[in-house]
Amino acid sequence: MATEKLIWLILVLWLIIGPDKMNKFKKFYIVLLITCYWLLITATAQAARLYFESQEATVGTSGEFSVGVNIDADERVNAFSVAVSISGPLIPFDINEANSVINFWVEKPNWDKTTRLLTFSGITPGGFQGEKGRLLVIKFKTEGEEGNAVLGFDKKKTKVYLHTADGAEDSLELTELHLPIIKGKENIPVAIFDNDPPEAFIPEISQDPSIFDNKYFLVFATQDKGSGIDHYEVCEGNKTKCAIAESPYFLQNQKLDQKIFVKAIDKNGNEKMATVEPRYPMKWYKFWWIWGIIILGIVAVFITKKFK
Amino acid sequence: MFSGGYSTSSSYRLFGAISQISIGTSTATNFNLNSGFLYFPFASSPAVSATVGDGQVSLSWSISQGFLGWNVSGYNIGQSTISGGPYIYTSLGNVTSSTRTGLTNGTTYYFVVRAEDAFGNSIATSTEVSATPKAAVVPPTTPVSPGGGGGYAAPATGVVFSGKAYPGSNVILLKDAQLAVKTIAGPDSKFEISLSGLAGGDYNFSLYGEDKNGIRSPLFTFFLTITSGATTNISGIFIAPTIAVDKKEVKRGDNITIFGQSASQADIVISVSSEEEFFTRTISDKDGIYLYNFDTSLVDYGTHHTKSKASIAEQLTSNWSYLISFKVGTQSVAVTFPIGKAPEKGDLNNDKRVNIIDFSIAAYWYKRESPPAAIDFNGDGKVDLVDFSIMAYYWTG
Repeated sequence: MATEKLIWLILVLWLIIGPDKMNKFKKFYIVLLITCYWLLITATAQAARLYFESQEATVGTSGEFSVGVNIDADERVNAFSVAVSISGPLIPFDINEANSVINFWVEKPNWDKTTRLLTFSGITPGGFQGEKGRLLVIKFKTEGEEGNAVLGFDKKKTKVYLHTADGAEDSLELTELHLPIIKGKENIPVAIFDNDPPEAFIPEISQDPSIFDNKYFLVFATQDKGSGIDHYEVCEGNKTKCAIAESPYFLQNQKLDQKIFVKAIDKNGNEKMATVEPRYPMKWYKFWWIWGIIILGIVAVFITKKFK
Repeated sequence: MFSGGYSTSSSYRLFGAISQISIGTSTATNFNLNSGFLYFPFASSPAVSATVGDGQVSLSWSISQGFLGWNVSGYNIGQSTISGGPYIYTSLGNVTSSTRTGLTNGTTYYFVVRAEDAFGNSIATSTEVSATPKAAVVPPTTPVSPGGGGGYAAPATGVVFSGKAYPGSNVILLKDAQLAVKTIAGPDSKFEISLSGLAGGDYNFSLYGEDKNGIRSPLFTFFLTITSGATTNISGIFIAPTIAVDKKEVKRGDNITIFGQSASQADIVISVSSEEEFFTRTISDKDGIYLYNFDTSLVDYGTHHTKSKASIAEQLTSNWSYLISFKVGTQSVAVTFPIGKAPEKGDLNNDKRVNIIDFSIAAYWYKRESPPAAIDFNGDGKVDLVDFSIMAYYWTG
């Protein structure tokens, strides 16, 4: 928006001081027309605004601090692709997605040290409209040096989409954050007391010809409002045989004859487990322990009869 | 002919005019010249949430959306200790939350939220929400001596949604975009859904209605901060109508039937948009069913779109329904019944829903080469965020 304003200003100035041959009245009317149009555009233009909300206006060289990535949306928006550029002596070391307006992550937040870009994308079914929508919180440490850090958005890689049937792109206003880093000040991290497990969830088994050769896969997702989800584990058959997993998860047991346990574990170690009952439970005669009981029973009857 | 909301007259005189209806209340910057009587602006009613605290009530509300020239510029809160008012109003500016402090614990307070245009005219009012502040419960300290007795029940954390859908319709609540509760609205269209056992934090709640044909309304989405140990009430939700047409293609000059469901005896305004936007009005029956035969000789050949919205007693106004399309051509092709159920786009595994399974399938193909055509919703040869945005629009949970 700032660039557009500048272009309009240059155009108006050029008309005032530029074309000598133009009739003064004509010139006046054109300038008036452009000014009115510019005022109209700036008064009515609706855009989403992406900006940062720092815990502190000035940060110290030691300790850790947080910066939120927020959105104000005049129109309802439902998809976000964001690239945060981080310059200066700052190291992002953790991300908190706990209370994000993004419900499903297409790309989980990823920090690329080389390009110094933190990228992520995701969707909000139903859309978000309003102010101070939190996308995520970035936790930072400094490199121990004084200086100036600048957080910004990569204009080409940052896009927000309107909640419409055709996925139209919204216009964006991107605001940088300048953070002076000074010596002698210690940053105090925001304490998160999270004793609650993640929200209850229901994993679902599905199959589709377009993925995993039409074989069964498992989908799951939940939220943790305290510290955020750290990871998921899927256990096929019993609770001890678990593997760290992401959704969609290709099921090893394609017979679907055993229970599946899915654990959601938050960043504070709290755990919520969901159980998926077998779709095609094993027949009774396939359980070894049932045969064990039968054999023991037969042996017991035999022994009883023999020693009677 | 009926009142656009500003008039209290019961009789009308017909005259022609080219102007804003309700003079001086529109901030529109472009105008179209259309024939008809229904081109009055409107704003959707805000749904209001109330969470009680110690000597205070925290209120938040959904954004009121203005149409046809009205833009919401701010909100007022009306407060009273008597149901129905009179209310004492406080101007808040263009915000969607406010905490009313200095209240007496144990006294029930009644609140309404009024949306205003740029000139200070009230253009939409919520239904009344009540809340009774109470003193904070202090958990007992650890007992010094054993021996049992007594106990402490931590206050429940939950949320209660109430409003209107359609008589006997399904009302579905999504919590963070996943199915949480399904209920059925009463014969009076009213519904109430309670959800407990939540942790304190920020939630994305969405509600939608599903009519007797299985046609769904768009999501009514509400972002809410749930306070631990408190119950939040959200009232005044009015689910948008469902909408369908009886023909995919209609021979120009023949009628096309536009129908759907809303609350019983609701005013339904139907918009048919092509080069020019037509508005017409009908009233839903006791079952909330509405039906309108649109004369297609009014529009040109080509694809046209229609949508509807509902209002009750000119007070509670819904958002627009989904926008659906039909073709005006040289022949009539009926829609195959049963209609509905399957969302227009996004249902990749053909289970008539758009949910995490479809999201996972699309996520698998994200940025991969040669995705199946069914996943590439906008047909640009790739699965990117545009396709996910379309999926989020048609989401059902």
